[in-house]
Amino acid sequence: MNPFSYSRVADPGEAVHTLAGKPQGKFLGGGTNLIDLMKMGVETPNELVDINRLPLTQIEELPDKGVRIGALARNSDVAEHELIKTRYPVLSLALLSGASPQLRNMATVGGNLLQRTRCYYFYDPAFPACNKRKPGSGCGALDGYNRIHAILGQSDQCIATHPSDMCVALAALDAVVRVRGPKGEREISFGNFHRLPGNTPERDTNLAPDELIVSVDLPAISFAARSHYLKVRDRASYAFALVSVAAALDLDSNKVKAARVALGGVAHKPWRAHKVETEINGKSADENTFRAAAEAELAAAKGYKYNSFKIELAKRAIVCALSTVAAMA
Amino acid sequence: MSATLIGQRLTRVDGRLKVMGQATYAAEFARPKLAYGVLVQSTIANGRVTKIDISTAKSAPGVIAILTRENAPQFKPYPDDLTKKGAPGEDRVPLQDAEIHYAGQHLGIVVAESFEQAVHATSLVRVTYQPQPPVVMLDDERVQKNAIWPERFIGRESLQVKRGDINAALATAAHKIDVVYSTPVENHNPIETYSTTAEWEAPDRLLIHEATRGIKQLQRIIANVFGLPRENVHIICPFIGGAFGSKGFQWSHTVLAAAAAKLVQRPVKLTFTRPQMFDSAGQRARTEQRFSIGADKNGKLMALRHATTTHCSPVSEYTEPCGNMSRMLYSCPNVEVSHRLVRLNLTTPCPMRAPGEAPGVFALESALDELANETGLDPVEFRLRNYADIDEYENRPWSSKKLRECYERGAKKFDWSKRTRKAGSLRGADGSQIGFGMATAIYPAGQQKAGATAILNKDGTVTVRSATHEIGTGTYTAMSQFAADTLGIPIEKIRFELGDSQFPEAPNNGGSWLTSSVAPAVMGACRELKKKVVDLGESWPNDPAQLANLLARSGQEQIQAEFISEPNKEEREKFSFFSYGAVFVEVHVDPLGQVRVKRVILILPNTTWRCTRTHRNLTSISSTS
Amino acid sequence: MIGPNLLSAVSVEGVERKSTAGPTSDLVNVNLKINGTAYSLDVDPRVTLLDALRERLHLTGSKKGCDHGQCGACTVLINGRRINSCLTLAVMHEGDEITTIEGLANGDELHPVQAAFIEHDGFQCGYCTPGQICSAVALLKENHANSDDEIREWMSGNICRCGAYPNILAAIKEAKTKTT
Ligand SMILES: Cc1cc2nc3c(=O)[nH]c(=O)nc-3n(C[C@H](O)[C@H](O)[C@H](O)COP(=O)(O)OP(=O)(O)OC[C@H]3O[C@@H](n4cnc5c(N)ncnc54)[C@H](O)[C@@H]3O)c2cc1C
Ligand code: FES
Ligand code: FES
Repeated sequence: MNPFSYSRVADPGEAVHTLAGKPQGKFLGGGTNLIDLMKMGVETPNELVDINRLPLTQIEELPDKGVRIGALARNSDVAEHELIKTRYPVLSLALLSGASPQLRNMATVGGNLLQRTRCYYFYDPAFPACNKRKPGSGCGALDGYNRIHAILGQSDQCIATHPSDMCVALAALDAVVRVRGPKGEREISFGNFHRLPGNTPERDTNLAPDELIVSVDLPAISFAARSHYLKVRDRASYAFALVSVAAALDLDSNKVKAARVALGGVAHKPWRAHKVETEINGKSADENTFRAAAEAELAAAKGYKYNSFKIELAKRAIVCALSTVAAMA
Repeated sequence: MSATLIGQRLTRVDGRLKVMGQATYAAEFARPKLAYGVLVQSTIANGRVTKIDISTAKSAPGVIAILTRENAPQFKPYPDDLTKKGAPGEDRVPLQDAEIHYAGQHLGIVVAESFEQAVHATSLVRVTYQPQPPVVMLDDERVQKNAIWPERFIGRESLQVKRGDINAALATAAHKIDVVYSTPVENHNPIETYSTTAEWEAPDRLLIHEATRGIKQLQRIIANVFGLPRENVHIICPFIGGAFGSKGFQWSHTVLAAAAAKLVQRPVKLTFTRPQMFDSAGQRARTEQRFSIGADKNGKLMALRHATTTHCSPVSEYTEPCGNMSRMLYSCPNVEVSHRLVRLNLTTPCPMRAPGEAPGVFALESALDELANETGLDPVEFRLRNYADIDEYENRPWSSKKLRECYERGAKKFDWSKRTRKAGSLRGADGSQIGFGMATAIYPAGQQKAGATAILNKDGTVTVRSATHEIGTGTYTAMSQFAADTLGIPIEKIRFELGDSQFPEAPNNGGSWLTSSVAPAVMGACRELKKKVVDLGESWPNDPAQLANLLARSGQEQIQAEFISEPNKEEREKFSFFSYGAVFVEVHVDPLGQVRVKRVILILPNTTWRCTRTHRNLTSISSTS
Repeated sequence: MIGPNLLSAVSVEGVERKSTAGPTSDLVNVNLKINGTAYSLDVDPRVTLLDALRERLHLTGSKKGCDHGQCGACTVLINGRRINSCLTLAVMHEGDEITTIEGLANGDELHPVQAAFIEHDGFQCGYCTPGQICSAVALLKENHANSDDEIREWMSGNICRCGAYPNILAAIKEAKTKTT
């Protein structure tokens, strides 16, 4: 780990001020991703600003019946909060499916949004080629061991996936990320927060280096109470998703009135499954409808040597998740 | 003798230390003026080092010294017997040449005041290479013509075996299959990584705290490499955080830590990172096993060919002996077992959770199932029809074999009769496919030479010592029990000590022979102790208080007895020694391809267990859902 | 009987209760309260809480299994919540109450979870055990031990490579009856 200077800040303004104009500096949340990557030599900040004492841990109802989650709220606290469990069970389930109880006690909402890919070629600097780590160096995964890699939205520069479970639920819920920079606050809609790799895979998100995430706002979605998170992985727990599905359905008897669906483990960003949503709209909520919609969503999917299984797996996972939600009371 | 303790539900004698965080593992011995070592490793898999630039690293904060080939001493070779005959571990000592044989190979060690400084400085070492394309796949054409056909497994069992006429038998078999099974590289990954703390107590005396299940072997290795009398190398290891085949044999880290300690004249601690557990000190080799087997129309095996291809590294010729059990597990007149070895640029292989018997029996049992299916026979029935009443390879009777009874008890307990024959025919309510499977378990029952001392102390307690190991299998507890039983005194009055190279010789902990080797030594030493007391003209009282009085009367500080046990050669040559069992499992695969093992039942013959609580731990397998 | 001389941690001079000069220049002072004892340390900010415990304070009960949050051997309680001490820096814990395996027993009297692990032989090599026990203590407090499956899921952050899981489960179930 490179040497760095360390400071603790007490309010968001001070945090932003401390890192203003210092692209080499980083905010330190739970540390579960940043410290890990620093140990690997992937992240090499020269300054860490510890934001753990910022008063941004609130989980509170907004006037419009949405919910605001402070950027420093711990993953476990969000998952166990009554407002989240009752109004957005998909978010609670997504969080609880991630990492381990210990890590969820440490991980913050802000840090979770910015966690980086688990691509092996990115994580180990002994591999020379990784455009995300070293722009222009190539992509080791393209012709390498690419079992966990993307099947949607990838580019020939990068086929990494975004590893977060929480973010898949947030994508389905149309969350809004509120950030604060040296020039003040702004809001970023969730769909615009993470990026596809294109020719700039080194940039995971549209956040500037000196911007601080202050909260994530969830809009009021009445039918989000009828939602589910399905995660398929190599072991029963404590593993990242191979494929995951966040789904919420608004049903009128057996007809789909509205749907929210997002996929994890398939792309460089949490993948909002707009095609599934439009496909099933107005149709009867049954397996045939869901399967046809899944086919449409995955029509553009492209697999590589070791991850083609994900295409069929994603389709089945979509059907399974939607069927589960449809069967809910 | 008082009522026997063997088989009673005792709690572990070291349990309290373990649950309180007081059991000390290799990295946990605080040494004065300790410095930290971190490995410099190769990032290429084949080629040569042209330059190691340490100029920046050397001046990084806290750095004390950097050891590379440039300033390394000339190490003497590892002991001959450990490097010949396909023995596991590496053949070459580190830092003597510029060759790179696999990725992660150790190229040096950076020593600094703190762990953090050592890690950082290591990242500043710049290595330049002259790379060669590495060969890492078993089927790579470049290595086929140089393939090795090893004769024996570590100089012992034959790896190329022929009995009868396999081709003729296959040609006439009523049912036959030809299948290939491959198993991946497997890493041991005990939860405690390797750790060595080396310090020179005098210019010719070395103290090493290391996570090792081969204390005496390591003592010999290090004495050889540094040209020291064996007794000048002192190895200590009271607890091991798991090994599973690692933490034995000769690897370069101990040598590097010791050489670095000499260079900086301070104790140096070198602990592997988790990633280094994959590239620095052994792993199980990949295997590819081809079976051609045939049976007659009654399901009697007529031909069994088991051809293994596996790999070694450029610096060892260790072979996974996959075919060993195929020689004799079933009755079959025509058998051919072969092993072929290619050299790959991969970390040096070694045994992992047993040597090749493990992947070998997995493949053999899978092949047998396929043939049973082909003949239309139930897998249990198929095995019974091919039951071997003697070891047909050695042509010897079994020392004991109750496998038939294991199959029968297992099938009953598992409800094997509920199994449907047709693949995919059993479904669960959630749409899962349900599979029932079974296999034979077998492993050689070995025994080695071992020694122990027993000491009667002033206070009437008895200390028993042997240079054996505690990897979690309960050595402290089991040996205390054996001693208490032999001496007829309460187990609380026994103190069993292990993990010190100054104690009497004990074998590497492996091959499932620890108890069968060390227990006879412990019991022997205890019997000798009793004899010595009786020779004093005293009878042996089963009471520590009286023992204390007796010692006081004798005017001696303590009474010590030693015993060395050796396997009974004659018996060993008369019989074939194996342990057996039968495993039954239920596996579910849901529509998303998620595999869940619902039940596992392992049936072992009825025997006396050392400590049934620990035994339950070592054999029970839970159902998960 | 296994006595202390060979087997328990060698105590060593220089264990840092008070601040001492460390090896680098950019040291940061941090006050930690560990198992009820206050420590003031000047540490390199790179030092993880786990390494501070093991290498600086010689509290070696917390284990390093992976150093990457992947095994749970380093689990300790911070202000009563379980965390992985390998992925957090010591300097982040100014003023925090830290409980390690060494702080669970009440003198000679074991914590019910510790006692249950012995009774049910919830370990083999013992290296994952301090982490398992700390995690289980938190699990009971969180009320996440209401069924076998719930215990398995909520203990999944603690790997046992020896595979003592069935006995760990049994130990936790027994401890639950003793603590609630
Ligand atoms: C073994 C292991 C298993 C895991 N399994 C899963 C899993 O199954 N599913 C899953 O979703 N995740 C998993 N994770 C990842 C985990 O969820 C993330 O590490 C965690 O959410 C990151 O949060 P943090 O607060 O610790 O972030 P940190 O590590 O502190 O920070 C991460 C990044 O975010 C930045 N940052 C943090 N907070 C802010 C802020 N408020 N404003 C601006 N920038 C900020 C930091 O500068 C840093 O770049 C796993 C992690 C580990 C170690
Ligand atoms: S050492 Fe911290 S989780 Fe493994
Ligand atoms: S007891 Fe060895 S890893 Fe759990």
